[in-house]
Amino acid sequence: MIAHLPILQVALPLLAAPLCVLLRSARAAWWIYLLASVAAFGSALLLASSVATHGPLHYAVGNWAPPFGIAYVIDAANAFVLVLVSGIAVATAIYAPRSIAAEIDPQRVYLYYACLCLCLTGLLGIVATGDAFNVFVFLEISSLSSYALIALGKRRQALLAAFRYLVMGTLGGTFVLIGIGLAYAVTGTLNMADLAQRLPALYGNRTLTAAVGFVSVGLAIKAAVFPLHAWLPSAYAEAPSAAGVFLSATGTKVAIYAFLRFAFGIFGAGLVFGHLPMSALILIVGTAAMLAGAAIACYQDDLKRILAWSSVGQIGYIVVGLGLASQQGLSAAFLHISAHALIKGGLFATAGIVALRLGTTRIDALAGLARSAPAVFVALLLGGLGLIGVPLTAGFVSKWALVMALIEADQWAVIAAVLLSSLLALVYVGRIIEVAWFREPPLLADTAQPSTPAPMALAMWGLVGVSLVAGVYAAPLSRAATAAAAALLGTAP
Amino acid sequence: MNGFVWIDIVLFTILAATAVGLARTRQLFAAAMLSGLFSLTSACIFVLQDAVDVAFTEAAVGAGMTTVLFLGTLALTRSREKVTPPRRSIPAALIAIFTGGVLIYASTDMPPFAAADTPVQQHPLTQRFLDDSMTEIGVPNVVTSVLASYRGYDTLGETVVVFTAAIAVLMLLGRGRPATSAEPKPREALPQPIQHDQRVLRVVSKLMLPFILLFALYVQFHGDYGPGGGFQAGVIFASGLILYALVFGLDAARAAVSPAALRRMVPLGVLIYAGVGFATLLLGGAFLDYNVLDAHDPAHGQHLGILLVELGVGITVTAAMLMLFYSFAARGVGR
Amino acid sequence: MSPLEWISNLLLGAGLLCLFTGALGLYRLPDFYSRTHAASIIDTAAAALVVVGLALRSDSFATIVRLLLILLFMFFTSPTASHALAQAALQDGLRPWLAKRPRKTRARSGGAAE
Repeated sequence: MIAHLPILQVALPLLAAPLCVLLRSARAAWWIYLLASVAAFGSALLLASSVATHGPLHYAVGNWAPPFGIAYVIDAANAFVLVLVSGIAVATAIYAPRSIAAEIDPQRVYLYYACLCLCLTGLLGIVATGDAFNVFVFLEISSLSSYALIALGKRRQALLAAFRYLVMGTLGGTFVLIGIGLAYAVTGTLNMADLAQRLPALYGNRTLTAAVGFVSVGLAIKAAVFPLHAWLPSAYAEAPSAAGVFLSATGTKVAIYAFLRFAFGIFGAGLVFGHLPMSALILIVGTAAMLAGAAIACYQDDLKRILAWSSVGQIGYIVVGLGLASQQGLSAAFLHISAHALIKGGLFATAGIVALRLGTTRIDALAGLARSAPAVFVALLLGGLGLIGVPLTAGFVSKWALVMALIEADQWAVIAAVLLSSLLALVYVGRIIEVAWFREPPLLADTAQPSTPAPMALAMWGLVGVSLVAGVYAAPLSRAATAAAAALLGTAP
Repeated sequence: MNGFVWIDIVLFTILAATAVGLARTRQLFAAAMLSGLFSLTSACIFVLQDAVDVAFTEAAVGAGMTTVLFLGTLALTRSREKVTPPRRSIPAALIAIFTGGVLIYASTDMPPFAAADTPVQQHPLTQRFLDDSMTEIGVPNVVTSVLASYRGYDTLGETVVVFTAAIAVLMLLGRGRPATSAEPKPREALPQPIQHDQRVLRVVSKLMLPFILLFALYVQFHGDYGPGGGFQAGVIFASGLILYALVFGLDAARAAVSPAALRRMVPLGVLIYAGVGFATLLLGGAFLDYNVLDAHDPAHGQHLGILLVELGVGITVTAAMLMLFYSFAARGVGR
Repeated sequence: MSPLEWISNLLLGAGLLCLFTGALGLYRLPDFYSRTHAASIIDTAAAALVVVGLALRSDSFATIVRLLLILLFMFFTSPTASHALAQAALQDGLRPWLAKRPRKTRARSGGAAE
C-alpha cells in the first residue's frame, strides 16, 4: 500500500472533485473534501516518515519507467511541503463550513468544495511530481481553481482581483511553459532527473539560459515575489475567508517550492547560482520584498489587506534564504515556509472570524475586540507576534535561522534589512493590537455580535497552536527543514 | 530552399501581421475574428510541421470554440475597447519587446530546425516512442500512444483543467441549480431563434448537423489510427450542438441537451478517466497501467485503457464546451 | 506530361485566377455586398477548381474521395455562410451601394462592415 501512496495522495483529492459535483449537495461535498484532505494529510505523514527512514520513494505512473513515463519522486524536501499543504487543507476543511455558509450563495457551495479539492490536487501534484511538464499541468489546475475560489468573494472587487490574478497568473504559467519547452528543445526529455543529468553539459547554452530566466520569472509571478506581487494583496484580501486561509498559507509556498525544485533539482545550483548571477539578484529582490511589503502593510486600513501585504514581505525572507543557496539558507527558507504558512493561515482564519462577527475587517471596526472577543484577540496577538518574530514563536525560529545563515554568508546589509522589516512588522501588528485593545468599541455593536462557531475556533487555534508549539519545541521542525534542504542540495533526484 | 520554406515564410508573415493587427485594433469583434485567423494560421503551420494532431486541436479550439466564446462574451460587454492612455501601455510594450528579445536570444542556440541530430531526435525517449510503441501499446498513431498511455497522467491533468474551467464558469455565471419550473422565465429576453426567413441557413444546418456529429464520433474513435482523439472530438461535437443553438435558439438546444445533463457529464468524464486509474490500482498495477486491464493480453489492455480514457476526455470536453456556451448565452439573456 | 496533368494544371491555374480575382474584389469593391460577393467567389469557384485540380493529380482513390467530400461540404457551407452574412447585414439595415450617392454610402458601409 505504501508503494502507491505517492500517487494516492494526489489522486484521491482529484477523484473527490468530480464526486462533489455529481452529488450536488453542500453537506456531502464538505464530507468529501474533508475525507480527501484527511486522506492526503495521512498519506503525506506516512510518506514523510517513510522517506525519513528509507530514503526517497519513486513511483512510475502507468508503470512506464522514467524517463518514458511520468514519475513521482518523494524526498525529504517535497514530503515536507506535502505535509504542510495537506495539513493546511485539513484545517481549511474544519474551518470552511460556517465561513462558507456566511459568505457564499448556498447553491454554489458544492462547486466551491469541488474547487477546493481541485486546488489541493493541483498544489499536491506540483510538489509530488518528478516530471517538469507535469509541474505545468498541475500548476494550471491549481491556478484555475484559485481564480475561481477568489472570484467568489463577497464584494464586487473580488471579481476584479481574481481577473488581475488570472492575467498575471496566466502570464506566469505561460513563462513556465516556455521555459520547460526550451529545456526540452536542448535535451529531449522532461523527466527531472534525466534533465538534471543532461543539462550540466550545456552550461552556457543561450537557450538554456533563457529557459532558466523564463521559469524563474514565471514562478516568481506565481509566488508573488516583490516586483511581481501586484496580484496578491487584493486577491487574498477579497477572497472568501476559507479560500484566504488555504491560499495564503499554501499558494505562494508551493510556487517557491517549485522554483527550488527547478533550480536545484533540474537546472542545478551550478548553473543557477554559479554560472548565472541569480544569487545576487535573488538577494536584492528578496530584500526589497521584505522592506516594501512590510512598509506598505503599515499603511493599509483593512485587516486582511495588512495580512496580505505582510505576506509580500514575508515571502521576501523565504526568497533571501533560498538566494543564499547554502544548507543553512535553504533550511531557513523551509523553516520560514512552514512557519509563515501556519502563522498566516492562522491569522487569515482569525480575520475570517472577525469578518463573521463584525461583518467587516476594517481596522476601525476592530475597536474593543479585546473585550468583546478575547479569544479572537489573543489569537490575533499570538499570530502577530509570530509575524514580528518574537522569541517562542515559529516566526522567531525561522528568522533566527535566516539571520544565522546570513551571518555565515557575510550578508550584513541583508541582516539590517531583516531587522528593519521586523520593526515595520512591529508597527503594522501594533496598529491592529492598539485598535483592538485600547480603542473604545462603538456602543451599538456590542450586543449584535454572533459568537465564534466552534469549528472555526478549532481551526484557528489549531494553526496558531501548531505555530506556537513549533516555536517552543523547534527541534523536529528544524530537523525536517535541514533534511529537506539537504535533499535538495545533496544527491538531488 | 524547397517550396515548404516559402510556404512557411508566407504563413509566418500572415501570423505576424495578424498579431500586429490584433494588438492595434480597438474593434473587439474584429479582434475576435483576427484571433480566429491567428489560430487557423498557426494550425496551418503545425500541419506543415507534421504535427497534425496539434493542428487539429488548434483549429477546433482556437479558431472555432474560442471565437464563439469571444463573441458570446462580446454580447455581454461593449464591442469597443476602452482607450488606454499611451503612457500606460509603454511598460506593457517594453515587457513584450523584452520577452521577444529573450526568445530571439534563446533561439540563437536552439538546434537547427528539422535537423536529424537534435537532442530531441537523439534522446532514447523519441527512439522508444517511435520504435517500440507499436509493440508495447499497439496503436498506430504514436501521438495517441504518448498522450494516452506513456504520458496519460498529464492528459488526466489536462482533462481536469478543462473540468476546472467548466466548474469555475458554472460557479461564476450559472445559477447553482437550474431554475425551478415555478420561477417564470424572462421570455422575451431569450435569444430569439434566427428569423424564419433564414430558411437557407436552417435547412443547410439541419442537413449538416448529423455529419458534424458523426465526424466527431469518427475523430473520437479513430484517434488510435489517425489524428484525433477525445479533445478534438469533444470540441467538434460541442460545436455541432452550438451551431444548432445558434440557428434554432438556445431553448431548442437546451431541449436537446439539458444543462442538468451537462452538469453530470462534465464530472463523469473525469470520473471515467480517474476511475480507470483506480481500477488499474485495484487490479494490482500502477496508477493508469493499462496492461493489467487484460490479464492475458497486455496490448489489449492498452487498447481498452486508451479507449476508455479517450471516452472520458471526449465526454468532459463536449460537456464543458457546451456548458461554457450555455452559461454565456444564458447570461446574455438576463440583460 | 500526361493529358490528365494538363487538365489538372489548367484547373489549378483557373482556380488561382479566381482566387486572385476574389482577393482583388475583396480589396477594391465599394461596399459590403459586393465585397461579400467577391469573397464568395474564393470559397466556391476557386476552391472547387483547386480541389478538382488536386484530385486529378492524386493517385490514391481514398484521397480523391476525401477531396470530393470536402468539395461537397464546401458547396453546402460556403454559399450558406455568404448568404447568412448578407442577410444579417440586410436585416441590420445596411443598404446596398447604389451608383447615385457613391461617396456617402461608401463611408457608411466602411464603418458598418467592421
